[in-house]
Amino acid sequence: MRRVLIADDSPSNREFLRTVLAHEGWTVEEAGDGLTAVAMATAAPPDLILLDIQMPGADGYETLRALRAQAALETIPIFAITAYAMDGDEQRGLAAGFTAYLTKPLTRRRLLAALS
Amino acid sequence: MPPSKEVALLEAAPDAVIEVDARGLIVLVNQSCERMFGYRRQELIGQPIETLVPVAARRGHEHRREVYAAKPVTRPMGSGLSFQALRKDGSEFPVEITLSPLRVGEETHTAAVVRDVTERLSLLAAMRESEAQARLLFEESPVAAWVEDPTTATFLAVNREALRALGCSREEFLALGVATLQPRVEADYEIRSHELNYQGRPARLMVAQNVSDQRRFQEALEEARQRAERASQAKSEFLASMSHELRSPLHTIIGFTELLVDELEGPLNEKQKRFASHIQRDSQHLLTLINDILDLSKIEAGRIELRPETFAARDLIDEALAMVRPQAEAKEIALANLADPELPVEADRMRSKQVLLNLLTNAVKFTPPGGRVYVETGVDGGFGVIAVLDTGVGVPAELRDRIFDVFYQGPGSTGTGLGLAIARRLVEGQGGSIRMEDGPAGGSRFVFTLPLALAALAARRSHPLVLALEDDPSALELLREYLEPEGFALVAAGTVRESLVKALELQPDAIVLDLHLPKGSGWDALAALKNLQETREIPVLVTSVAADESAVRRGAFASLTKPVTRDLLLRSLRQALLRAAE
Ligand SMILES: [Mg+2]
Repeated sequence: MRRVLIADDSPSNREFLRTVLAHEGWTVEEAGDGLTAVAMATAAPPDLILLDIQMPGADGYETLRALRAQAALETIPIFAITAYAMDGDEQRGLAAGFTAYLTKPLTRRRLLAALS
Repeated sequence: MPPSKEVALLEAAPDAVIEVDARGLIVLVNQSCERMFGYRRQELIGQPIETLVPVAARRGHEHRREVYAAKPVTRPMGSGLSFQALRKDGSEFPVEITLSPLRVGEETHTAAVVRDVTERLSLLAAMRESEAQARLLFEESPVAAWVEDPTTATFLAVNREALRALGCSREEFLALGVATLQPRVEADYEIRSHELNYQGRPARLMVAQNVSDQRRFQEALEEARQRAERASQAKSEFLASMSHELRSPLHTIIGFTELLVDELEGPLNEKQKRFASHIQRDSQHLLTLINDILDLSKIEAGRIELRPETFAARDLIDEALAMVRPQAEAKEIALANLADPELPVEADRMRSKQVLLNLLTNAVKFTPPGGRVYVETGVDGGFGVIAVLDTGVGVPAELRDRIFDVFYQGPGSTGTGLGLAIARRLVEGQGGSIRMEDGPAGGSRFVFTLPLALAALAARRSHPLVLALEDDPSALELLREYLEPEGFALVAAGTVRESLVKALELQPDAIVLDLHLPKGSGWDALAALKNLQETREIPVLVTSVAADESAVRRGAFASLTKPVTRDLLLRSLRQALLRAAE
């Protein structure tokens, strides 16, 4: 079973992502903030991480750095799922080390297309 | 027989030399004396020396001669520069005279060496004049100035403005040291230093320009710039956070609605499905509206960066058509790309696509089922033309300007009212234009232009590139009308120089040259084009009011008599291209 870790402070977005991915056969784990996500990923490295950018505490970029700093998490796919969609936001995300940068509103179709 | 050494020396002297005997009669003169006084020497020998003295001074001269004879020593005379001498023609001139006693047998003669000082005096007068002027300028200058002695760090002179500015007397100022002055002036004055000699010593002229107003102005300017920058920055931050805050809830609405419509968690009844699709459609509309508002705000805030690149218009059209295909197919509207295969434009690709997509979306929306939407291209001046045509309802003439206004919504429109306003800004921001006209068979024709990638065009040769050296706009317009419908791209140059630059840069396939230009001659252009190795092979067609076959002898491909008919021009051009291709 493939395992995905979702880190987002918005319960509704976690539910959306969980619903879509569970239907695709993923085992879904959730964190409401970045630090919890880092702890969970360190304890048991997942196959995929979806990170919100604007979260209280550590934001998506800090969380990404903490995750990428670990050897076990250096190469796994980490996607940004964010409402930051101005010019240059995506380039900045990809430059920081996100595998993909998906902007909200995100549809099921776009998420699945990004995963394939 | 060569003259004796003494005679030779005497004759070569630049000063007049006159020997006078004890009675005051001239015994001997040299060449310089003849030249200076205008007499031949025979006329002077034996004459009293007073012949050479102005009448008014003769008596005084006789007296002084007697005084001298009593005590004859070598001494200058007239070094006070007030001595005047008299020429044969009656004119007087200032002289300096040195007298020496000569022992001749028993007698004492006098040798007078006379120097004409006219030039020296006028030089001196000019110097005095310019010195007085300089002093006046220094003193009365509206700019503060003073003279410093760099070795003692003291002041040698100061002008009125400096005293006024500092509010001190001349004595007070001159008593100041250079070091004390510095802090009092550096805030408000810009001081330039000039090396000069003052009263025979190296000194420095200091010129102090009051720049306090200028500095205050610059500070105000800088502050205004920073304020504008801050405001613009704040606007950008507001837009970014606005965008973020609107997208987040919209994401929930759109995401979950899709899950419902897709019946991911179980089937919906018909009514529920319809409700969900209402939400889906309007939330999509809301998203479009938000995107458009943000886009327009960014453009208005000057926060949009256009990055021009060279691409084929046809590829862009293909991509945009693919994006509207689903909607078109749903209405059974036929789509067609009639673009020229190789029309390279130089524009921001993404933003140009946004414009085209907007026009295509509108066209599909306003065309009844079973209709036709197609895109064609052309060339207009330095611009590529992209036209979207439909068989829809069209737009009444009186509304055609308004449809590009912000929030204008046509009758029956369901759009955001921003699409065309954004399109216009994006097109104009790239130097192009956008307009709406009637389609050839009813419907609308939306036309926008983008700068042609001239270099790419020239390299690809899909449209033969013709460079026209023509300074008459109406003649140029006519050329354009003849050539562009026939697939030629036309670039104009108004001057000989411009035509050479463009010929070198663009390497056109042919050049049309008007021989009669008011500025510079078309002949010069022809000669230069045929002279340069890089342009020699380009066929040149010259036009002139009278047939002139000598142009052909000078390398022109053909000489055409004005007015040049369309047929003749096209035929000649095609021949030229054919010949060049061989
Ligand atoms: Mg968040």
